[in-house]
Amino acid sequence: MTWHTDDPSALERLRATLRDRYPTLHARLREDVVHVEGTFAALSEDAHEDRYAINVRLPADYPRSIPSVWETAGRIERIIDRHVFPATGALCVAVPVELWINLEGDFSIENYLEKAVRPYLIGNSLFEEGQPWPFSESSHCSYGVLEFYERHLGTKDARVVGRFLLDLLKGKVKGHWPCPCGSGQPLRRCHGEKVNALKNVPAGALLDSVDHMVNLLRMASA
Amino acid sequence: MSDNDYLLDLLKSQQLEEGCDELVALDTERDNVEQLLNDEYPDSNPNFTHGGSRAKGTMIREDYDLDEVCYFDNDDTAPGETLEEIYDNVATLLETDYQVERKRSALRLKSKKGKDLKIDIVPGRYVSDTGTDVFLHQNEGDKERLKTNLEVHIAHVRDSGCTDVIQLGKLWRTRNGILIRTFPLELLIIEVLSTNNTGNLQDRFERVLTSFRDDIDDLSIEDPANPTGNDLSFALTDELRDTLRDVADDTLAAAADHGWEHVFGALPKAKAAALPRVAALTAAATAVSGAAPPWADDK
Repeated sequence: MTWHTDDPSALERLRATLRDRYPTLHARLREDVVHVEGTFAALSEDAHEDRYAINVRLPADYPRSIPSVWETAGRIERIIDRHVFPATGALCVAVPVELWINLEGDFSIENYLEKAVRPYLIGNSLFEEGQPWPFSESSHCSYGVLEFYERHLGTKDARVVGRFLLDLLKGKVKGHWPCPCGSGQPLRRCHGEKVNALKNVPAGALLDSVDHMVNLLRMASA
Repeated sequence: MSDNDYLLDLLKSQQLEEGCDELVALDTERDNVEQLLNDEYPDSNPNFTHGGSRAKGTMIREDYDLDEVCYFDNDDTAPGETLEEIYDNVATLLETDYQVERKRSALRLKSKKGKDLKIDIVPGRYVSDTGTDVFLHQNEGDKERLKTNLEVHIAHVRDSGCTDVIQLGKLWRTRNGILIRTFPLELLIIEVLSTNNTGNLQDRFERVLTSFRDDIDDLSIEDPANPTGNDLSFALTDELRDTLRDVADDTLAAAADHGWEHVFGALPKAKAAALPRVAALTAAATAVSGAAPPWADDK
């Protein structure tokens, strides 16, 4: 069962949303997967309009997990340095855990397009103009994941990040417990807010982060 | 402003006037290709001329390219004995100055750095020394050889009385990312309007989309230059028909609910009054607060 078979009216609501807000994007059902296809104006200002041909593949549990998005007109080279997954050609709009936090777990088409896809495409347009990415760039692979945790938790120690993640995965994080950062402070007076933001991230995404931290520690010790 | 006035202004904003930057850039490359051909085949006198939307009067700013046909005399063997040799030899010649993408019958030109120059060169050979029919080489499909006639194609579109709807249809195709080639789209629009081409632009465009929505499976297209000989079914697959139907349905519903400006967006202001592009992009980036930086993984 998928979201649109569970609730047949949900697909019609999605189509109505697209007609109202994005009239050049269309929901198409192929092999039981809903794709949102067409063009998306990353920029629509005065004399400048910058449209991208995109295909957003919605997950089976839409809107509860992260969609995948492709640029379909061959404008963005499918290489890792253009922030594209080389294996699939999908755009890598952000570290997944950061996306969960920024979008607060709401991956409805409007939220995803406005908060994830639009910033990426504006950034790509600026990059094409020889400008830096406006929201900076994460390093590739595990290093980029650690950079996110450095922004979020204020540590670039993969071991410490791993402690936070493992405590979260055990599901037993209490405010009066010592903070995993090692400060000696209770969690609620130290990283409590930051940890709370991670509590709603699915275990699978956190486990992926653990794998990246293990990978970094392994590379450091090699 | 009425919906029809809006659509008329939209088309006006899509016009490419002779002498504009885009056409000058195309003509510069065109002249270079002609020079390459003349230098390589000094004793040939190929008909090197505009085909496609520029000749048909259906060019639009948002989706334009230049089709240049290069037809050799039927007894001219300098560029090659066979159609395939002509196609390959012209491609190889063009590769001295360009990256060349070999399409079904055309050669798409890109700069050496890979920038798409929006120019297709179509090599071919006249069928006889008197007529205007030509044979083209085909890389795909059942037949290696395609018989066609550029003059018939151009006249069929240019004199159809539908060039304004065709321009709007091309913009609709581009804005919605529909992967239909220009010629089959032109043929479909002419076919729909062949029975009733009355009314204003809005009426006629809506008639086309309504037909796509309701009758796309019943519409057929044939090459006016060779109606029985050239199979165009590859250009209008079942999947493409489904796409045309679905997108036409959405577009008509959106226009009925919100008007045509909602579908195609506000008309662009004059460039002189606008921010430079980088400044506009930077302002748009600033308006997006708290965005995450892009990442990538090699898995």
